[in-house]
Amino acid sequence: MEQVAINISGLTKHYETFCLKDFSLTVEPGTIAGLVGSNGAGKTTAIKSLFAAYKPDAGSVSVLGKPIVFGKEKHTSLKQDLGFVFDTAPYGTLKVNAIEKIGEANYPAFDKETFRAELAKAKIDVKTAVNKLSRGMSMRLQLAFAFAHHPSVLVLDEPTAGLDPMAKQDVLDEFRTFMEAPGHAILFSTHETQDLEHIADTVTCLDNGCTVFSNTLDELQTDFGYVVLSNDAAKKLIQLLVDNHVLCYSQAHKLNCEVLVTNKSKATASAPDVTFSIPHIDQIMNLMIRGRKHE
Amino acid sequence: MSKTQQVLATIKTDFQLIKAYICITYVLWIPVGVIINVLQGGLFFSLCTVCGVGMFGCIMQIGTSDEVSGNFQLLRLTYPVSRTAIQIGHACVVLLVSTVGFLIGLFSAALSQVILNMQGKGDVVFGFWGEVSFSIIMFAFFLLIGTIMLTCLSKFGFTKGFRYFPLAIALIGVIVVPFIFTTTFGEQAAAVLTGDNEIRLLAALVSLLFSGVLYAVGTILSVIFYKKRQF
Repeated sequence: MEQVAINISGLTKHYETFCLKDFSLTVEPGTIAGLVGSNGAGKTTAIKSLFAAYKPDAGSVSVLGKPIVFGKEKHTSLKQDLGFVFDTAPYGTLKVNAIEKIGEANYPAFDKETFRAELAKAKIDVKTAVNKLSRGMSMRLQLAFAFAHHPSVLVLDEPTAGLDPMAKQDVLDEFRTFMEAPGHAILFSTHETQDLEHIADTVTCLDNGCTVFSNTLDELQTDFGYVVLSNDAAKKLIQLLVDNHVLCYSQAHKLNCEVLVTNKSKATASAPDVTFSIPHIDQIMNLMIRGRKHE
Repeated sequence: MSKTQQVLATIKTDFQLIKAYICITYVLWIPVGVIINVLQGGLFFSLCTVCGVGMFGCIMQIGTSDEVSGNFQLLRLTYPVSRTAIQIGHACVVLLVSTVGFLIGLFSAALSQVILNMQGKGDVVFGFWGEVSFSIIMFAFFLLIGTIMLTCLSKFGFTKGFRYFPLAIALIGVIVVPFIFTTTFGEQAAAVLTGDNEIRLLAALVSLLFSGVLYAVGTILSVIFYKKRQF
């Protein structure tokens, strides 16, 4: 049986101005898990636990069935199976060929051919300094580095932030190619939720350190329903839904009101004349975080 | 990877971070050292500066890469290299860079001595080996400063570490300076430094050994601090 790629259970970490509370996440092999939330929601804190960057106040983290423990060094070799990509390439003025040498030094499995092939695909010259690369190119460079040591789990922190649509498409295609190999998994943190709608299997949303929802994409698209109505019509609908014990969220604007239901079939049965559409992840996020809860 | 391979990986990584700076420093300081030595009629400048400049520059380069020009310190933690290996690797690199700097200084001094001899200025104040002894003492002193810098960086990181570094130096000064002036140590040290070349060289080697031991202790402390540091 294949080991769970990533398992975070009840992770809690208090900082002076922020707290990640009881965060749990499981990434199965062969799946892409999306982690969404606004800036400062706790996504990077969650990711940093995967390389024991801090000591959690509670909870546990394991990768491929083996625990990652702060202060212990037994998990060091495990990091060969993890490929990390951050939102910015932290290489300063280093040249690309220096990064290749860093890869060769740190990863026994680092494959120079793969690295060069990935660079060629992105049209990156090895003699270029990283700070001279465009944002899209520096992201491709980080991906090339991650792919070159053949990890089975990719951990991506905001990899598509600030990319133009074509560069973003290229990066998403790289992820799809990576997922073709059996047992591979991706944890993809982003606040650009449209990207996840194309590739994610599960989506977990964080807000201010708390988990807002954690569902499969399929569940989000079949169970959740979304509708925009006039304020009066929305008021009637919400009352009807509450009477029928359907949990819903609403956000009123000047001219209309958005309504999100968490059980579309029950909501449709309660209000047959209302057509609920499939909500986008950002609509679910927005209404569950900023909207009013009705139950 | 074995622990030795992990330390080697850090050394190679650090070398990539510092190589541009180190190459320029080493190449530039040979002629600069010779010119200043010849103008001053002494060897002390080149013997001491390359070692010190190389060491401090190396620590600054690693520190700025880790925190200022990128968040390389976070990336390091994702590599399959332990925190212990990272700190031991840093210590090895700094020691290696300063030792090579010392040897380059020695080469520059020898070159200067040849030029001074050709100019008929003969031996410098303490003679060639006398000045080498002084430079070994300076090397030992730089190692002590490097020990404090590396320990501060491992505990606090670059930005915060450099706030505490002058404080650490001042605190040590508060302890060491009265010790020199209130005991006979100062007088004895002065007698050794102005005495025979053989005794001076021996004293220089003892001070280097002493600094080496402190550097090793500092590295152990750095490992302990870095293993507990949270990012």
